[in-house]
Amino acid sequence: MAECRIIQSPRRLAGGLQRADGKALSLSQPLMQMNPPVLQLALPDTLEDTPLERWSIGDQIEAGQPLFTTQEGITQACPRTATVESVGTGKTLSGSPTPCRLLNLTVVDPDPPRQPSLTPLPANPDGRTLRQRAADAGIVGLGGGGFPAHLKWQHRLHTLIVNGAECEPFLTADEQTMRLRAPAIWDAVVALMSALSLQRCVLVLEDNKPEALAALQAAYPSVLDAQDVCITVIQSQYPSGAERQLIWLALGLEIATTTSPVEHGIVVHNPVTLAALADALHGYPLTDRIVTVTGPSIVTPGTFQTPLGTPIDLLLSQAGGLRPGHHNVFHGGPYTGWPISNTAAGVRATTACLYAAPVVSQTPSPCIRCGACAEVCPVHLQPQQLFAALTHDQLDEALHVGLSQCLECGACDVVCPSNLSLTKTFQDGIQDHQLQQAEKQRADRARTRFEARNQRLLKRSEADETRRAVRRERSGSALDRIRAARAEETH
Amino acid sequence: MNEITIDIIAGVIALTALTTAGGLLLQTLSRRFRVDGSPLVAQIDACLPQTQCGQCGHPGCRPYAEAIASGESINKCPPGGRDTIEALADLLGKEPIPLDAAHGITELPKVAVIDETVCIGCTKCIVACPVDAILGAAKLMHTVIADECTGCDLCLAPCPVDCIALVPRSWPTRDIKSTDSREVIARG
Ligand code: SF4
Ligand code: SF4
Ligand code: SF4
Ligand code: SF4
Repeated sequence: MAECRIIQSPRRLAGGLQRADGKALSLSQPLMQMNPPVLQLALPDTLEDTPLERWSIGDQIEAGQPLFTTQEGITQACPRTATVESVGTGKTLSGSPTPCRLLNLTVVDPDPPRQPSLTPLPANPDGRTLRQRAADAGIVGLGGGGFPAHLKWQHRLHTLIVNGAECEPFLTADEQTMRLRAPAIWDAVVALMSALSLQRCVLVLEDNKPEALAALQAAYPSVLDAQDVCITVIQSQYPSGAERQLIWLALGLEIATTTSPVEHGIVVHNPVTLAALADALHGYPLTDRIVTVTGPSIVTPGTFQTPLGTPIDLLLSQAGGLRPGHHNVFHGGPYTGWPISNTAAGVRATTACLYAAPVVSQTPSPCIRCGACAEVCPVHLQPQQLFAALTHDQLDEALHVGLSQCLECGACDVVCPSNLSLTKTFQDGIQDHQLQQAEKQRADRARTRFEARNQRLLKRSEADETRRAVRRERSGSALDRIRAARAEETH
Repeated sequence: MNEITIDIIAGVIALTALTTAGGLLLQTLSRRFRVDGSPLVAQIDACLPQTQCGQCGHPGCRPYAEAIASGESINKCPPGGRDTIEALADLLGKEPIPLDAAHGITELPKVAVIDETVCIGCTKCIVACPVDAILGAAKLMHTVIADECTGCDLCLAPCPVDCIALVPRSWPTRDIKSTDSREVIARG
């Protein structure tokens, strides 16, 4: 049996946080299967037909049957055999002002699909087949990015990095998946390496996951050449799992923020995505995902295998519910999560974690220039400078001092003694910058169209002018002839 | 002696050839990449929002840019608001001044929609649109390409059946806060 190479990364992150990781909280329970009686799926805005043109109330949809296909080609399968209860618009998870279209289902058969709804692929599918399958099976980045996997594979690639760092405290979905589904993860690695003709694969883990490491080692497939594949163990430090940081830790390569890793031939996937891809190869589209429900406000934290669309409320109550008092429930972890305003909404493909914590009212005070934020910033920014620029509405200045490099990791918030909302301010700034760029592009288009129109009008008026001149000349000569004729008559 | 003369002549010839070639290259390059009009006007125009609404009193942004280049005040563009004034002040080395309210106030950008059930296909709006954002033919219903519409308002008045309205954009738009004219006054 082949041995897997284990390498200790010689590099470590500058800055960053090392905190109690809180992961044991949800890993002390075995993985549980959720069997919700109802599902609520948000439909993409880009669907051309209305939900009612697609489904009638009472229609039965089989588990695995396609529900819709997004603009990017991702097909979402129905997670369970269910009937259509209602369609309509409603609030999104984040409670954003624009409502989304919803499909409400009543589950008929709570069990996960037992039969593959897509034809199982033969071993070693080629690149095109694999891309098509990933799209048909709805495989998107399950680490939280939600980016369609098949679109990453359109580039010319040479290296696969499996991001099992899971550096943010309390998150355990990746770790649980690596412990329980190591063979599936390797299956997907084998398929990807042969289909995309990759030269190497590096699976990166933080050193706080010995059990996951052991499981991956035990499941290491003999078909993989140990020359090309290794597991790299890195020091536990937040945010080592941020894409560019991870690539640097694994390969020693720095990727500029202006380019994306795939342009350099490097594709990064989360282990949960790879496990889902392995299922897709066997004909099972993405219908469930693993969700960690955790945090100080949860009575019995744990990990849950959850059908997409399971109402957040149900998931929370399955985890024993919230402790008495006021709590915030976050979509994502304690550092990068955003507050969920509508807990009746359904779980999405990107819901890796629900983190609940008591509401604490921290009143921000002015920056005391202590420099703690700059010390932890993994990309060597001066958060206090960024913050000062943005709160004075100086976006240009903020960009000048590196706003676009901010990872929005939240490390600076954690250490700031003045309780300033640094990361939120940076997120807003980055968004404002994107909108400004979009506005610039619109203006450029408008300028081109305006100038094209002026050119056209100018040409037309010139043409009119010539025509008029010709006419004048002609009528002039006619007049002359008449005059001449008259003159002759009088003579 | 003789050798030195030959060297000098060769040097002169080589240098002459080199400079001539360089000169020719520069000339062709400058012809090939010539910038039309004054570069200052283009730089000013780049600060303007290209709404082409005429609120500044000129028939479009470029004409206003030309007027600014010859000394007109920089605070007459309501769609651009504070951002535009600051960018212009930066470019021209002037002090930012509040928006001249006589030309209007800064509002969130909008788009035109044509009520296609009312439209009689008269083509008057097509003629009015400065950026060719309206599609349609005579006697056929017209429609606005929302993505190209600058929300300039110029198509509303010509419509004989009042079937065009300006509505808020359906996509995310920059917050008015950063372009609010009142803030300019407060800051100024
Ligand atoms: S959120 Fe941005 S500024 Fe703050 S520590 Fe992370 S990368 Fe640095
Ligand atoms: S940590 Fe907070 S108080 Fe200290 S310098 Fe940074 S922003 Fe200012
Ligand atoms: S007011 Fe502003 S947007 Fe309108 S035409 Fe004048 S410069 Fe252009
Ligand atoms: S459609 Fe109307 S509002 Fe929009 S750019 Fe054209 S004329 Fe202006």
